Amino acid sequence: MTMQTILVVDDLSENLELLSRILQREGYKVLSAVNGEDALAQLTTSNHIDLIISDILMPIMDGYEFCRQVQQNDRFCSIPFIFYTATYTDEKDKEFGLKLGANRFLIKPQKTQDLLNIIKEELAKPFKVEKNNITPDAKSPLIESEQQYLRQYSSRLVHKLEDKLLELEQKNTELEEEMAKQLQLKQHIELLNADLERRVASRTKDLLSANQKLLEMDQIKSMFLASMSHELRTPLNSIIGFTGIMLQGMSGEITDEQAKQLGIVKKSASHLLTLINDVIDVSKIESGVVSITNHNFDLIELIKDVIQILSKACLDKQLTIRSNLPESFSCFSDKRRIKQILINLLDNAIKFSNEGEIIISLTQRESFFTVTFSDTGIGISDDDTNKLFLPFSKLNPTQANNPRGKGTGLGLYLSQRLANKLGGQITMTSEPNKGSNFSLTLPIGGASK
Amino acid sequence: MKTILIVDDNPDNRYLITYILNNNAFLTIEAVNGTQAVNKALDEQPDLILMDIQLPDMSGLEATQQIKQSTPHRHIPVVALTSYALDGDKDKALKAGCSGYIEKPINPDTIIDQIHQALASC
Repeated sequence: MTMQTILVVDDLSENLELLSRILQREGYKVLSAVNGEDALAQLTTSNHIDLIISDILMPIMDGYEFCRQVQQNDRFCSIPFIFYTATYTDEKDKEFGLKLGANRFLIKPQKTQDLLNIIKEELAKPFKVEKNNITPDAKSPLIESEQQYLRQYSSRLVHKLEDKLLELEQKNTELEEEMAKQLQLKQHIELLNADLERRVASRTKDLLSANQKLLEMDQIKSMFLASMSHELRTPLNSIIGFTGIMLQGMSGEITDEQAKQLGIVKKSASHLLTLINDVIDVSKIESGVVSITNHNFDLIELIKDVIQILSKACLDKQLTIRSNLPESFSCFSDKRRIKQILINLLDNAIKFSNEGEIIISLTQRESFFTVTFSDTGIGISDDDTNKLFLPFSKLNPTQANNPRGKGTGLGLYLSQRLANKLGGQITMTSEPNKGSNFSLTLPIGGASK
Repeated sequence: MKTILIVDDNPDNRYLITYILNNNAFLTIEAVNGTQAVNKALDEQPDLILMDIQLPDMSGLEATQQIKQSTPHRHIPVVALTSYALDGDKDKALKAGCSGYIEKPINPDTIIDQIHQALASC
């Protein structure tokens, strides 16, 4: 059996391809055309075509005109003609299409099987001379009068144009609505933008004023420290001063007992003074008021100065200070702060030693120097080493000869904080009842920021 | 006998220093604020001024500057009585024209030495 040939006409290539595939799979030979004119050319050139499936709306020549020309051609009019269309289809279109001589008027999309069945059905029909009573002999009202066809045809086209116009108008309305919406969105965004800018400006203002407040607070803090220091010291000025002159006998002879008691007053006042100084130093460090001023200076000179300051205390306890120091050692740091730390470390070594000697040594490792004070004092137990650098830490009171209470409890804490500020630290090793080594390690060239 | 002007708003402090100085063969005059300090420095021409830094009307540094601006009196040594309080107080004192400083609270065992040193250095 020879392969049956079907001509498929559609201006959309996807439709053509889809339909061609379905038909080819069923064993048909498929020819395709993209409009009526193209289809007529295919009909003319090909040997035999068994069936035509055509779309309606196509450029150059539409399906109606194509169908009309096919029906008027003696060679082709007997070929079964199926309209297969989706665009703007109503009953009138179908009526018109069938009147033109089409065998079927199918609405897209059809189930593939239905479509194939219809095609098979049409192909199986015996060769048809008469089609829907529209053969030329039949003198159908349509073919009879060219004018009538044109009237109906143009009415269909007008109908379609009206539909198209309606659609365009609707599209236009939609577009206008869309534009209005866009405009509204744009205005909304502009509003949001303005609001955002306003909020940023107000937040910036808040931050500026918060910053200003912080600066003021900082000043208040500094002033508070200054006046606290002054207020706490003023009464001590009288206490220390007058006990001092009474002890000197400046205001008259005093008894031994009075001298002893005044001595206790003076010693307590001095302790209170140290405590006030330490507390003020701690609060200065913790509130960030402490400033570090670096200079070039000779560390050896400074150490000797510190030894000199505490030489009397050493002498009182009959301790020997042995130092193992180079001729000079130049460094760049805050001399005043280092002096404060060294005094504290040496003072501790003296306080916690009852006999023997204190060795002061200086070592250098890379860009750091270390000053170590080694004493032969009571030492510190492991339990206590952890508490050592905490403020007001109470070390084990059961230890014999513990002179705790002589200090303020802030000295090491303060010294460690200062050492940290200077870019270094204080470390300690100890053995109970043998002695302790306190080391101050600092960068030779000052703290790196 | 050398005359020393003691500037301090606290009467106890003035009494303490006056008492020590008088017992160590110094003559003393007193001022209770900055304005009085400037006037007495100009009128009485003391040999040394002990200037407290915190005064009610103006700072001791300001008073020192005013005294130092007067040509005939700029030679009078001013020793600041400073608090240990804030960093830089001592630097400020030296900048304002003070020739030295004594830290408060004063130590009756050492203050006479400190004053002799200040008198000797000018």
